[in-house]
Amino acid sequence: MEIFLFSQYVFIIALIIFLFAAVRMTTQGTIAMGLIGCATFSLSMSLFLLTYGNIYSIEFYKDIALALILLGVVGTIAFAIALRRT
Amino acid sequence: MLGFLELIEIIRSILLIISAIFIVVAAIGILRIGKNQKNGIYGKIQILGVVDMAGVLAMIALDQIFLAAIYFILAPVVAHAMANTYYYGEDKENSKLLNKSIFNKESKSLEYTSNENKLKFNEECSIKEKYNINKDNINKDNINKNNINEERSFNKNLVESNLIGNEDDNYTISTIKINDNENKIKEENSNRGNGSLKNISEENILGENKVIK
Repeated sequence: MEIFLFSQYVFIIALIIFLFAAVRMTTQGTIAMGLIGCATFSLSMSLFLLTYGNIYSIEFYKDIALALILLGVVGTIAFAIALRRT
Repeated sequence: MLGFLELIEIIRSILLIISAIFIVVAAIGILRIGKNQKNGIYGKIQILGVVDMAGVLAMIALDQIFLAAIYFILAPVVAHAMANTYYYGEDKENSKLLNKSIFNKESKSLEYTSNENKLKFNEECSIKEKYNINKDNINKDNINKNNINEERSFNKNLVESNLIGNEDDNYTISTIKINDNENKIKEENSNRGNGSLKNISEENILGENKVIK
């Protein structure tokens, strides 16, 4: 149905805008902001892959998105623990 | 008349558009919070919570229920980890560990200690008040490693030591030590190992000292 395709494109545009905001956050200088920006970037990238894979029926994009979400979370928590110890 | 599948498609589309609106609003909000704004990073983390939930909505709309369930559980954990990192690593305004003035102010009231340890601390204080000893009476040169009779650690930032020095019939007891980081504790411990407490500065000794005959 056309409306679903249209909404997917709208969602992708919103994600692209948010990706720029994530890059802006990552490059703000402090370590914590870099961590936040990276976590955000990985989330929005995985959402982007999910949507893109749904539009063009590419199944392995979903696997990549799942890996990105899980490993992004693990990396964020590990880095948080490491930074706190130092 | 709309069929069931078409209705589902419309609902999914609406969910996606709502997610898109939330994501754009969050992006604008994140960019509007300035670098030097007070507690701005916590605000950004909270805004990211909105994005997380918008992402979960979008995953549901894209038929990825499993992924949505996983991220719904993991998103608060990640937000907490990020805030924790910032608080203990870089937040000099609020962190008691990074800002010495806040630490010293609050460590005297012992907000860090548990109730059990606070009780012990209060008991110690009442004993000290009873003896009413002047701090000048302590002679740190007489205290060596053999005289350390007790050391308790409340947490990694707060160590209580009872040191007893013996000179003739006078026992000198120096008590509470509050340290602001782990390294200082290690440094002091190594000083004790060498049998000297001369390197410990006066400002690290809080609480009273007493001499008992």
